Amino acid sequence: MERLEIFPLKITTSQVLLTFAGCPGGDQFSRTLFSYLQQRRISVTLLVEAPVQKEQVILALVVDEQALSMIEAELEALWPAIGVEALMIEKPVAVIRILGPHFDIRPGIAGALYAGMAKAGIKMLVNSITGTTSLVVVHEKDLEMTQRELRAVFRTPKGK
Amino acid sequence: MADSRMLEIIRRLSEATPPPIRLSRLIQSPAQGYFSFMLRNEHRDVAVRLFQALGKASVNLRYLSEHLGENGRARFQLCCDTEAQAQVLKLLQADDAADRIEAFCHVEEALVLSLYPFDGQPELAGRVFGVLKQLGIRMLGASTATAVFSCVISSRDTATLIAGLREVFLWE
Repeated sequence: MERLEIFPLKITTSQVLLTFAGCPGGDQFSRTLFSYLQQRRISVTLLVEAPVQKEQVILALVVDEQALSMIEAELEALWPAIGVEALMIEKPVAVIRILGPHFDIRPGIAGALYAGMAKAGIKMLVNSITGTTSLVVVHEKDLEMTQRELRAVFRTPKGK
Repeated sequence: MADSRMLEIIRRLSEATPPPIRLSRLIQSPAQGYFSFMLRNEHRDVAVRLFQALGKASVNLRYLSEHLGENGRARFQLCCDTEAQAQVLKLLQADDAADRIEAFCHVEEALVLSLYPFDGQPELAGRVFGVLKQLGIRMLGASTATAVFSCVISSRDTATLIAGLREVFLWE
């Protein structure tokens, strides 16, 4: 498959991946959590939510590490109170934006991306593909290798 | 200590008036087939082969999310145009994939709703999830990119959800 030209990779470092596991299906959980984050002016770099068994959901949020440090103590008090079974925290992580491949109209791009990452032994913590964009979350220690691999899969302007 | 801190948080939240959120666009995808499944970390090669095979079969993926969590298992969710779902199903049911896939789910008539702009606003996500709960609509998946919040629902819930979203947000 030819290397598709994309926009320069956008890298956001010093991020934290928060995984809320076993979240209750009711309205209170999401209303309270997201209102709280909004009130504390925490911007969400990436969100992925999926249903699991018994009407529960699993929620992955990526937020800035410095922003999290300001609310970590409150968050520790909040998550058990809103019925979340566990909160897992991974840091530091980086979010890489791949813009331009048009996953929705060009078959084979997801295959090329996954094959490249697997060949390089890179663990993707989260990947969110919607139409034109993919956001990939990796441990910061894997960032350099990931950028190298993405530039092998995609063509970026002057290697950016 | 934790309880008093939590009560203070709840008190602050209940006192606050939620600000209006302005959105500019709501885009509805063509009809989609929805699939979700889990793979143990050591079996992620199944996903690589699946996505490569879908590329060879000219199947476009309009939505794909993967999250590594839950006891070292990766959870995948994907949507393809409805006419391609037999192809996806066939690949997922092939022996080497079927033996390794867990928690498989397939919804034949789904669609992706995309709301713009997201721009990292947590309250936007909270309100969409709130509307889904209030209307009793099962959310099949949600994810974001920088500017867009996308959620996957069953096609039969489309009109109800769009009407609900029109009431909750200010549209420009």
